[in-house]
Amino acid sequence: MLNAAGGEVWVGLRENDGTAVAIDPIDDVERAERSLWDHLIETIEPRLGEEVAIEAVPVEDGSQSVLRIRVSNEPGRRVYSYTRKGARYFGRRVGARLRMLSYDEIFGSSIQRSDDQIATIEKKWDAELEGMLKAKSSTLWLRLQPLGEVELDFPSHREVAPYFMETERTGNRLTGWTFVDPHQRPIPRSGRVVHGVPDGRQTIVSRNGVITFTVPIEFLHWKGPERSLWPYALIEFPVSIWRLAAAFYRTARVAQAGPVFARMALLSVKGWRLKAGSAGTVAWQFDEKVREYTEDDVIAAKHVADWADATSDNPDRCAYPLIRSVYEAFGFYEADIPREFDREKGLRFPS
Amino acid sequence: MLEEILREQNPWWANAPARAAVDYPIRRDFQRALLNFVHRESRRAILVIGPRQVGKTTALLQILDDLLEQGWPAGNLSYCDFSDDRITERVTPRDVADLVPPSARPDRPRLLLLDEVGRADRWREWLKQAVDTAAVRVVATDSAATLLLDGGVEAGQGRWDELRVSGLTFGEHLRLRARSEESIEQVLRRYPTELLRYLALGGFPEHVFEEELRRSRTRIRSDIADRAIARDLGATGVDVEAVRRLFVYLAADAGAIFSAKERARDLEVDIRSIKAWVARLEEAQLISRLRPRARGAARLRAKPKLYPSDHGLVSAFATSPAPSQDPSVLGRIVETVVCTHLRNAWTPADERLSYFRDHRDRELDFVVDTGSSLVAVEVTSASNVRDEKLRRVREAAKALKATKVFLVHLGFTQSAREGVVLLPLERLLLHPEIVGESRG
Repeated sequence: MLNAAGGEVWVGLRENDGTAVAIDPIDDVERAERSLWDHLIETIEPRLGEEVAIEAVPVEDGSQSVLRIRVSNEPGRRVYSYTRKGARYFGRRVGARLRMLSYDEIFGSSIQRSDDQIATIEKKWDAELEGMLKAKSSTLWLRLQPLGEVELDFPSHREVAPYFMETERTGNRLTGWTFVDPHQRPIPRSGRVVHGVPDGRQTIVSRNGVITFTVPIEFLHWKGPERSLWPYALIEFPVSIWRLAAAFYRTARVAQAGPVFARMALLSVKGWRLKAGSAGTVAWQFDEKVREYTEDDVIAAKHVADWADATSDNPDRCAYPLIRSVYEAFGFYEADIPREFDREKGLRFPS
Repeated sequence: MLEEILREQNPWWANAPARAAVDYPIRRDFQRALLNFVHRESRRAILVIGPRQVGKTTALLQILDDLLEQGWPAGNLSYCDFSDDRITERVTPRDVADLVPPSARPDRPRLLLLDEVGRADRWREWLKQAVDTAAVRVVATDSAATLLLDGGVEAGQGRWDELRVSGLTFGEHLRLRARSEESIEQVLRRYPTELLRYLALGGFPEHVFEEELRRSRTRIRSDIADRAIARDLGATGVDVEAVRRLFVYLAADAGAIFSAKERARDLEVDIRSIKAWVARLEEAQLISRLRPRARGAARLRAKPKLYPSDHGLVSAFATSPAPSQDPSVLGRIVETVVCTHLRNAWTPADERLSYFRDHRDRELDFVVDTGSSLVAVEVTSASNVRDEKLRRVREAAKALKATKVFLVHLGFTQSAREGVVLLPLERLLLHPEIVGESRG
C-alpha cells in the first residue's frame, strides 16, 4: 500500500476470499501494536514516518480490540521495500494480493519522486539566490543536497577540523583553489558545521548532508586583466567541494541512498571575462579567445549526480556538468574547458 | 651600434613619460635602501649582489621609474643592460657614460644604472675612477657568482657599498600577490594556503604566479645548475660536474651538520677541493653557513650547518615528485625558510645567529643572540607539537640557558606550553623580529 495509493489493513478480522467475515479479537492489543511497529521499522525501508498510523479499534463490548493500519495517500512518495529472510523486495498491494514491482516501477517512480523533490528544492533555493542578488552579492554559490536519507556525524573538533583545515583529508591540492582554510576553525552550530566567513570563503555542512559553499567571485581572479575568471579557480573550487562531499558522505549513515542534487550559481557575473583553454599551453599566451558575459547577472547550472559517483574515489566527475554549463554560458564548447579537467578522469594537475 | 642599443634601453631620453617597470609595480624591501642611496650625498657607488632571479634587474628599473616620477631629468638617467645579446663588442662602462643624451642637464647629477656589470670590460677600474672623480653616480647589479670571476667584490673597498639581496621573504611574496591597497591579511583571506605555495615555490619572484610547481622547479634547477654553477662558477675554473653534485647533496641535506670529509668520500674527491667549492658556493650566495654556538677555539673547530640560500632550492633539487608533501623534504624546506628569515632579520647573521648542540646531543635548530639575551628557536614541520618534542626542546633550551624558547610549527594557532611559545611558521615569517621582543 505504501507503494500504491494508500489504504487500510485490519489485524483481527477473519477473511474469506477477500471479504471480512468475523472478528478475531487481539488479546493484548498494546503489545501487538508495539510488536507490529517494531516489525515494520525493522523490515521496511526507508524508515516509516507519518505516512503510516496504527490504532487500536475496540470491538463488541469494548473489552477487546483489533488493529487498524492506515496508509496515507501521498502522490510522488518514495518507493518502499521490505526485507524477508535477508532479501529485499519491492512490492505493491493489489486488492488482497501482493505483486512485485517491475524495474521501471521502482526506478521510474524514484525518478519521478526526485524530480518532485528537486522542483521543491529549487523553488526554495531560487528565493535564497534572489535575496543574494538583491543584496548585490558577487558570489560563486554552490549547494549539494542528497535526495536520499543520510546523516553525517560531527563527533569532535579533532575529527571534523581536518576536513576543513587540511587539504590532504579530502584529496585536494595543497596549493590549490579550494574551500580549505587552515586559519579558520570549523564551528558547530545546531545541526551543522560552519567554516569560514561570509565575506570570504565559507562552507556549511549540515547533518542531513546538505553542503553550501560560497566564495566572492573576485577570489576567482588571479592573473590577467581585471574581472577575468581564472579557469582553474572556476573549476577547482567546485571540484574541491565535491571532494569534501565525498569524504563526508562515505562516512555517513545512509538510511536510503539517493542521488545528490547540485546547483551552482555565479551571482553578479555580468562584465566578467573567461578565457578558453588551458593556461598550461603555449597557445594560451597567444590565443585571444576571451569572452565577456554580458547577458544577465547570473549564470546558473545544475546537476543530479548518482550517489555512487558522489561517494566514489573520483567525485570530480560530478562537478564537470556544472563547469561545462558555465563555459557554455560564456559561449564556449566543451573542448574549451582546460585539458587538466577531464570529464572521466577528473581534475589532475601536474605535481 | 651601442648608441642605438642604449637609445632603445632608455626610451625616456626621447620620450620623457616612458617608464621601464610598469609591469612590476610592487617594490621589494631592498628597493627602498637603493633609493635612499641615490638620494644620499655621497660619491660612493652601490653594487647590488645576489643570486640569479631574485629581482635585481627589476629593482633597477623600478628606481628609474621612481626617479623619473620624482622629476629627475630623464636625460640624466642612463641604463645599460650588459647582458643584452646585441652587445657583441667589448663595451666598458666608460663607453656608456660617454654617451650623453642631448636632453641631459649639465647642472644636475647623472646616474648610471648598470645591469650585470660583471659582463662589462674593465668595469672595476672604471668604477674606481668614476667614484674618485665624482663624474657620475653609479648603481650596478650582478650575480654574486659572476663577480667571483675577477675578485670584483673585494676590490671596491672605500669606493662602493655592497647590498646583498636574496629571495623574497614571505611578506614580500604576499605583497606581490596583493592587489592595490590590499593588506597582507586580506591577501591571506583570498589565498589561505599561500604559505604552503610559498614553501613549495621558494622566494624567486619569477615564479610567484606559477600554477605548475613542477615547471617552476625545473626552471629553478636550470637557473642554478646550468647557469649559476655551470656557467658562472665554471668560468672560475672549478670542476662543474663535481660542484653540481655537491650542491645537490647540500640541498638534499639542508640544515645538516657539514662534514667535508664525508662529502669528499661521497664525491670521491680531495677534502680541500670540497672546502674550496663550499666556499665558492657560499660566496656565490647559493648556500649559507650557520655556525654552532661556541666560544673561542671551540668555535673554530666546530662544524657548521649549511643551508641553500633559498628554500625553493631544497624543493627544486629534491628527488621526491611532490616535495612539500614528503615529510622529510618538507622538514628541510621549513628549516631553511626559517633560517633565511632569521638571517634577514638578525644581522650580522654570522654573529647573531647560530645553532646549538651539546655533548649530550641536545640540539636546537637556531639560537638568536639579541644582544641582551639568547633565544632558542626549534622548528618542526608538524602542525601539532608532540609532548616528547616539547620535552627535548625544553631540555636543550635549559642547557643553552636560553631566556626564551620558541617552537615553530606548521599550524596556525599560537599558544604556550610549559614555558615554550608554540609559534605558527606563518607568524614567524611575517614577523621574524618577534623572537627578540619581550612578548612572543
